[in-house]
Amino acid sequence: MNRDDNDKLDLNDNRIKSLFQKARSVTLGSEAKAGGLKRLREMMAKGTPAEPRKKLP
Amino acid sequence: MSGDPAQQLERAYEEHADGLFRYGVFKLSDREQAEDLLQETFVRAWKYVSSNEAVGNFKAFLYKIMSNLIIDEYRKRKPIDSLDAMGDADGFDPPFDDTERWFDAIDGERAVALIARVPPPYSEAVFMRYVQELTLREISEITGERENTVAVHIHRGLDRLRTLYFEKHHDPHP
Repeated sequence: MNRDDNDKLDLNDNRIKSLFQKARSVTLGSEAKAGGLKRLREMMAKGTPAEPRKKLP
Repeated sequence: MSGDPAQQLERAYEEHADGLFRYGVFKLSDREQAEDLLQETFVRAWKYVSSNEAVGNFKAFLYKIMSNLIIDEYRKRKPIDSLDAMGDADGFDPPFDDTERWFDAIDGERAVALIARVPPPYSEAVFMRYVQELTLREISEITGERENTVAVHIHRGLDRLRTLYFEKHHDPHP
């Protein structure tokens, strides 16, 4: 058993596990993620930095 | 990771964009800024890999860039913008008599903010290990700390987390 496995063993508090689980639910969102990927592809195709992300008014 | 640099970076985006964004929200408490820094992370990563520089661990490489951008952002911020100040203003502490129900009701972003209230460097170590699910070695590469030190920070962070949010609020005689 490596050290990473050992430190997992200390996590026996279900409330803390639940807290981490809730925190993991924070994501970029599918629309923003698709937009980011599109800008990344454009940047790599052009070989230049991406256009700035469009922000909400 | 093998293949041409563009494919590597596209795969890395698919795999790590959500985690990097979450890390930005954890450190900055601001979705918009986290999204901006995520984009800038990949701009910088592209500049690096497109000049044929080799990357050993893409995940750690991207987190390191994001982490540096966050440090730059901190330097620009006014002191009043600290997470603690924002949390205090927002009434973060749960009521003593209703902790369980309050805890059940919080959403993901509030959970992220709660973990961030554990003092540094413990909060970061705990967040990276249990929310981002990075290995000790990856955390070590990102933070520049030795693996043993990271492990100590994780243990202390978990203890602080329990004390801050659970034991404290269940003690009838605080």
